[in-house]
Amino acid sequence: MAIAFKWDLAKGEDRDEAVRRLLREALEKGVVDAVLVPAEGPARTGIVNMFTTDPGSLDASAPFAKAMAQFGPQDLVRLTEPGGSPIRIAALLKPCECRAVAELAKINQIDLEHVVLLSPDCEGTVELKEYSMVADGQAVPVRNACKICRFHVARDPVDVAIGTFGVKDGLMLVTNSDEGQAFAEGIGAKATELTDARKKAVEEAIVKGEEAYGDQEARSREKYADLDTFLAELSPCIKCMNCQNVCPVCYCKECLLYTDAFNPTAGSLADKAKRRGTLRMPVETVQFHLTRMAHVMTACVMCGQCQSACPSDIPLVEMYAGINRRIQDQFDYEAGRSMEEEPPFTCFSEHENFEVVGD
Amino acid sequence: MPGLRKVDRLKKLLLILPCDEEMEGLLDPESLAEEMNDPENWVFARSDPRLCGPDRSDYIADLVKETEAQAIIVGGPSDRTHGSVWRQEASLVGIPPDRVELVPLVQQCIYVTDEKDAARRRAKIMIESALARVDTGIDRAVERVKAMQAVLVIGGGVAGMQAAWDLADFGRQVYLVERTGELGGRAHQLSRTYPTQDCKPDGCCPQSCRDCQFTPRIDLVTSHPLIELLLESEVRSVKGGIGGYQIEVHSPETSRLLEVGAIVVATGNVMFDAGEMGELSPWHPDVISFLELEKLIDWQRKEDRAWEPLRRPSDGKVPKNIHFLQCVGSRDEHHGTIECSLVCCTYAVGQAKDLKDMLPDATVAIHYMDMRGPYRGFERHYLEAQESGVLFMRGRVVEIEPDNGNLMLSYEDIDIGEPVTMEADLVVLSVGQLPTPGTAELAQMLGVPLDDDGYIGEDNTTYSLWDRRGVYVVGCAAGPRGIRYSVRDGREAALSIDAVLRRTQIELADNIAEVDDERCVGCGQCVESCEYGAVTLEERTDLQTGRKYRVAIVDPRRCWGCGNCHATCPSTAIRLSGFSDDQLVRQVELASGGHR
Amino acid sequence: MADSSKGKEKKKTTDGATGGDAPKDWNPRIVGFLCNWCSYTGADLAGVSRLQYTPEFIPIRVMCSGSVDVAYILKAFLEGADGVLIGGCHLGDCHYLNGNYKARRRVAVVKEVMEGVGLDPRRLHLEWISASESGKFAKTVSTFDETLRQLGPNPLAKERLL
Ligand SMILES: Cc1cc2nc3c(=O)[nH]c(=O)nc-3n(C[C@H](O)[C@H](O)[C@H](O)COP(=O)(O)OP(=O)(O)OC[C@H]3O[C@@H](n4cnc5c(N)ncnc54)[C@H](O)[C@@H]3O)c2cc1C
Ligand code: SF4
Ligand code: SF4
Ligand code: SF4
Ligand code: SF4
Ligand code: SF4
Ligand code: FES
Repeated sequence: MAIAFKWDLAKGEDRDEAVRRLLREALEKGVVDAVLVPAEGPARTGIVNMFTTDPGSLDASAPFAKAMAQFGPQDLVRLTEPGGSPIRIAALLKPCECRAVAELAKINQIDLEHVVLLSPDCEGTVELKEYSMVADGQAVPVRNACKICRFHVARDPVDVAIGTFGVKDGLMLVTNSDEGQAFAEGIGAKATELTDARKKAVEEAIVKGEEAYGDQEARSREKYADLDTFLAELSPCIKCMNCQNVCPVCYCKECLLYTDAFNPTAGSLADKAKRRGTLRMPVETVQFHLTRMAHVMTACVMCGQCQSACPSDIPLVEMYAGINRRIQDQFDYEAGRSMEEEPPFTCFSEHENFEVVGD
Repeated sequence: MPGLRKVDRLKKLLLILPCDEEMEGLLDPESLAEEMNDPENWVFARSDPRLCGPDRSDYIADLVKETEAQAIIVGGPSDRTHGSVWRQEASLVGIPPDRVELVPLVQQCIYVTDEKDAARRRAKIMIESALARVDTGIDRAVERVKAMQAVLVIGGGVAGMQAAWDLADFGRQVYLVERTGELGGRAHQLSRTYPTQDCKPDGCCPQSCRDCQFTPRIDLVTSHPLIELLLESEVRSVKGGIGGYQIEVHSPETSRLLEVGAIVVATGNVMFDAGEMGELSPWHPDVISFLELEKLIDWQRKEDRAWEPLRRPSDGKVPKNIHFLQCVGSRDEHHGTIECSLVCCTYAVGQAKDLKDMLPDATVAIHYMDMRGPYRGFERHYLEAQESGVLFMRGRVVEIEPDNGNLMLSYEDIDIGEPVTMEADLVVLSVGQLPTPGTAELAQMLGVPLDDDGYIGEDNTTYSLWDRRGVYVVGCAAGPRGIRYSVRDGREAALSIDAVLRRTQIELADNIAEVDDERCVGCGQCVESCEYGAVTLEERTDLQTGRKYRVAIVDPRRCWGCGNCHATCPSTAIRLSGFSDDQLVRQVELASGGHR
Repeated sequence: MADSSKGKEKKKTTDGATGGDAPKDWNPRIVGFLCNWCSYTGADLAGVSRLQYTPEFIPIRVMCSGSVDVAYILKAFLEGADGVLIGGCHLGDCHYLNGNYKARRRVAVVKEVMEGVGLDPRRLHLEWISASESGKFAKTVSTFDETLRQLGPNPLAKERLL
């Protein structure tokens, strides 16, 4: 059950600073050994993740950064790989990243045993390349994915949600696990009641998110009712595989699309060209996208990193919005919702998907 | 990594069988072979009546020599019906099974349409697909496992005893695990067995019928120096596979770890409990089952009062009106099993006749649907029963009601087509047979399938030398059967096991999943999707960098070759030999028709 | 995208194909993934029983419906197949216990993906056909063929640069 803690602002502190202090406390009091947290890169033109054991260096961290660093969940894969030293890590990531972490933990890619997941309420992030404008104080619209995000507030597998929505002064640490509670107690946070204001604000964020997503889902379904739209939009894809590379849940060592079967040798290319008349080079661009959708939609957390990384501005988020929730709903599954839910391709229920057969 | 080497292009011998006139008329195999013949691309196509004639093997050997073929593609029969035949044929000329493809032109092409052109086009696609399969296949290094020579037999009924005895006779160490405290199983509980007289394991038989020679004897099995008896014991866990099983066996006192090369499952079956059929008043002391009847008779024998007539349980009266009810919990959609239990008719007829002999004045009747005696010797036995005065009444008794110290049967007589009631003072229920409780758990441990009716399926391949499981199900553990057949099962299993284990190395043929370490990220999704527990995750250390990583590994002895793991792994790090991406994608390309 | 059909009039079907677009001699091409233990045997039996169905149906033998990779299904469409049929054992009868349940999940996902990009999900058909159901096999192929005729050619078939 969720237990709330208070984390007040010290004099002259802003929320970022308050979280920095919280992390420092955690390191100094030995609650954790290391911290993974976003930070402003050199010249404040970007956001990267920093991994540190030094309380002093947390000054550069940007817990509420308005942009998302790349590869946060993947960093945890590396940091918790087998045989690593069992250091305790506090990882502060965006709610969507945390949901991807849960997905990766389910499939043995992240070992959460020594990790405390922290996640501040998220109002959305801008494209990385636009971060410098935000840093300069300009108003920049958030990314598409954030506009239709259903999860601005971190839920279950996250140990500690760092609440700002509906929290007037200071921060409210909402813990969802024993580890989270131990963390909050360890840093000396005071237990408090979950206020009605907080509950209401969270409710509202969810309702708004669902609405926004629902609208986009409907628009996407209409837009892609016709195959030509999809093909036309993929036309500028350069098959750089950036989308696959940055995607936290597209976790293969090497994508299927790089194997000989889908990335043929010279001889078979000639054969293929002969049979088909002509080939798009590099081959299998649409195959790649469709296969990727089929592979990752069950685990996709709609973080939008794929689209952000795309050099051709292909509206992947829009494409996925039409099917993401629908696919997961079919299996009563929600990516990142609970560690208890098994990844949909490894299990089944006898009483589902009847309409799929013979239809 | 063994087994991941890709086959270079192979010289392929394409044999299009001119199966019959119809085939010839519709497909013209000869001209098709001519058209497909493409020596430049190493396709050597032939169609010749000799392929369907008696000296086929010689002809093929000549062709293989002439063309130096490394693979054979057979156009005509289906893999399902002729796959193993042709793989055997190919093995004679040194071509391994995974380089043999069958194209079911007969079953799936020539009759499908009347349009000759379309059929021919289709035949060509199907043939090309098969040619591509061998060219893109993975040349699977044959897995070899060492064979431990000892054998475990689970269950000490007649089937298990026979298997144990024969295996020990072949010089093998045998562990015989029996759940109860004594050997003999069901047969040991029967006073008499039919249609032959006393083919029972305690072996004190006054008759001299031949079947006795076939029934294993408890005393002999017990004293065999190579048979170790583990009574009051049960199998707790099973690891490994053919050639090397590690079995944990528990008894109240100890726990043992046995290492064996093969396993005989001889756990028998149990009898249907009629308690659920309230309409037959099963609670009534005078409504008894076979085994209760046995006890009444047994009591009589043990006390050495063979002259003493049988008495009914309720009040010790000598029954005058004995009725047998067949198919209680057999051939029934609502109770027990819809299958026939096979031995009850034989047994009931025998018991009825014996009772009639014992009590000549009593009425002894058998209510049956139809007499089923799948046993040589049954008919004579049945006639004898009729001659001795046993009444046979066709119809299913639907109700038994206690009535004034006696029992009232209601049933529909099929022969006269009317409902009838009838009085009885002793009713014997011929209860059906069901799988032994715990069978599903045992099957799960052994990684063998269950049949629809809950018995362990008989799955061993036609050729025992291709066996990959090393698990043999014998006797009633594989479904009801008579003693003679249970014993024979045990004997057969012993012979097969001996043949399999005699080779000290076992080759695992067929389709097996393999992991490409380079591609596997150790996510474990394949582990979850394998129903046979054949895949596990293993932590390894990279010897050069010292880095630890996790990969999936497949125990080829437990893999059934279903390919579910492959479809679950997104990056195709695990794949099924014979069904690799290279093969399937190529097949899909050919089948899809390209672009228009 | 040179020969994209954008701008042509399209009706009803989701993927923009219409029966009317079909070239005269067009017959729907169907790729069939047939489980070795059931549908493939059912297909064998259908042939022996001389049941007829479209010769444009091309069988591919697989060990279990649960072994059909989503990538193969998608590949078939990208290679121009008008329909993909997957034949598996009836629920509860899978030779490997429950591969067909897993297949059903994969098919559900692929159908959603197809619909989400504008390829008519009816082009993918999953059916349980046992080894003895030769009639059902032939009928399934024929009915599917009919459906595909109504849907018209796979719109991906005319795209060359995919
Ligand atoms: C009422 C009745 C009448 C019959 N009459 C005749 C007849 O007249 N003629 C005829 O030919 N056949 C007859 N049969 C059939 C005959 O009894 C069987 O064919 C024969 O006994 C089967 O032998 P078995 O070794 O397969 O199994 P069983 O004799 O049942 O032996 C199985 C043994 O395995 C043991 N076991 C079970 N589970 C485990 C476990 N998990 N671990 C260890 N041990 C285990 C059991 O305790 C048992 O000892 C009759 C059967 C019945 C029920
Ligand atoms: S698209 Fe599929 S195969 Fe490729 S990396 Fe992603 S999950 Fe793996
Ligand atoms: S597919 Fe795109 S939106 Fe979905 S998890 Fe991957 S990167 Fe995020
Ligand atoms: S990142 Fe964009 S351009 Fe690169 S492969 Fe993905 S969709 Fe194509
Ligand atoms: S083989 Fe594939 S599914 Fe299995 S652990 Fe490796 S990557 Fe995962
Ligand atoms: S092929 Fe089937 S039995 Fe073999 S490892 Fe894979 S899932 Fe298990
Ligand atoms: S074996 Fe036929 S569907 Fe699994």
